[in-house]
Amino acid sequence: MCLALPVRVIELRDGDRGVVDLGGVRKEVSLALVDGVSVGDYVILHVGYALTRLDPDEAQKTLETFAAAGLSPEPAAP
Amino acid sequence: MTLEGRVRVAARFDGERIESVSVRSDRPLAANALLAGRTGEEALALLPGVFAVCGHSQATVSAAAIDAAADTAPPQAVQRRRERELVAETASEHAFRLLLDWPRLAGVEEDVTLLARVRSLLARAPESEASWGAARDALIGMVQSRILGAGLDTWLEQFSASEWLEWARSGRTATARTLAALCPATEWAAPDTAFLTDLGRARLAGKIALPALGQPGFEARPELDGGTAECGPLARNHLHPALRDLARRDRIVARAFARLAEFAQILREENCAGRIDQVALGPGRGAATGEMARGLLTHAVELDAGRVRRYAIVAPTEWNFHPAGPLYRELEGRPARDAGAARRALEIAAATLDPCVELQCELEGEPSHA
Repeated sequence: MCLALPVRVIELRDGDRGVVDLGGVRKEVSLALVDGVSVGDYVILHVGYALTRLDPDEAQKTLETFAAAGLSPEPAAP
Repeated sequence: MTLEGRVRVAARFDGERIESVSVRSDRPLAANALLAGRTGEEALALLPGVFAVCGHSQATVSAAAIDAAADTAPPQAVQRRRERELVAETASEHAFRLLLDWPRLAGVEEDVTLLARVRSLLARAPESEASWGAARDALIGMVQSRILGAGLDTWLEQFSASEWLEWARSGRTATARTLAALCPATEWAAPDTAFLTDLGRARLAGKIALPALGQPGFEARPELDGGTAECGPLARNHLHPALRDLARRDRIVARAFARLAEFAQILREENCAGRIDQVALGPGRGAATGEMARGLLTHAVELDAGRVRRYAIVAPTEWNFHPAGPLYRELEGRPARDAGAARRALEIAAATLDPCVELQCELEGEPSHA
C-alpha cells in the first residue's frame, strides 16, 4: 500500500519468513529485506515483503497519526 | 477514509480485442488530512514514516515545497542531499520491480538476495558525495554481472530496439528473461498519450500546483491542458533512440525497458542534480516537483502563520491510472489472440506503469487476479 500501516510480527519462521497480525488475521510474509526483526516488532509491508522495521513506540506514533487524521486501517470495501 | 487502497483494472475480451476498459483507484489521498494545522517542521518530521514505499521522495519534495512557500532556497549542500535521497529511492524501487515484482509476473526466478544487497547499498548512498560514489561503484559491478550480463556503457549505448530485444531473447540473465517474457505476443501501437516532462516552473505553477490547491478533485484525477498525461521512466527517457523506437511499436515493451535503462543510467551519474524543482506561488504558497520512481510527484502547500492551511499531493499513480489515462489508452482496443493473452496484457500493462498500491486485474468472465 501507499500509506505505511505498521503490522506486528507475532512469529518468526525459517527461511527469513515471519507471521504478522493483520487486524486479527495471521499472514506469512518475507523478512528477507530487513535485518534484526524480533517478535513484537512492527514492520511496514509491501506485496508480502517487510520493507522497514519499527519499534513498538514508533509504530504506535504512526498509528495515532493516522487515527487523528481519520484514517482507519480496515480494508477498503470490495 | 481507509489506509488500504488499490487500483482495479477491469475489461472485456470480444474474441479479438480488449474493450470496455475500466481503471479505478481508491488510493487514499490523505495529505491534507495528515498535515493541515502542522508546522512545516512537523510536516517534514512526519512524512518519511507515513508512506510505505516512497517516504524519502515525499519528504524531500515536501521540504522543497515548504521552502518555496517561505520564499527561501536551501543551501546547495542540502539540495544535493535531497536529490541523492530521491534518486537512491528511485533506483531502489526500480530494483524492486526488476528483481522481484516483474520476475514473479513473468514466471522467472526472483532474486531477493541481490535485491536486499542493492537496497542496503542505496539506503546508505545519500549520506555524502563520497558515499554515493562508493555505492555506485559497488552497484555497477553487481548490475553488470547479475542484471545486464554486459558492461553498463555497452548495454546503454546499444541504441537500437532490435539489439535490446535480442539481448532479452538471449536470456543471459534473469532480468533478460523477465523482459522477454513481458513482451506481448502481439505488438500494438496504442494511441499516443502526452508525456508529462519538461513542464517548466510557470506551467508547474499554473497547470498543476494551483489547481491542486484550489480545484476539488484535481489530486484524484489530474489533467494537463484538459487531457491526460503519462509520467515515469518512459516519459523521462522518451528521447532515447531505442526507447523511442520501442514506443512506436508497443509502449508496454518500451516502459519495461525504460525502467531498466533508467536504473542503469542512474548508476552512471556522478551526481543527482536536477531532479527537484520548486516554485513560489505568492505569499505563503509554494510548490515543488520531484522525478521519482513512478513519475512526477508534485507537492503544493499553503501556509498561514507558519502552519499548513492546505496541502495537496499529486502523485504519479493518479496520472498513470487516470480512468482515461495512459493505462486505459494502452488497453482499449488492444488485439489479443485469446482471453489468456488479453488478461496477460492487462496485468503487464498495469505492472509496467507500476501503481504504488495493490493491483487487481479482472477480465470479464474470468476470476480476478491480484
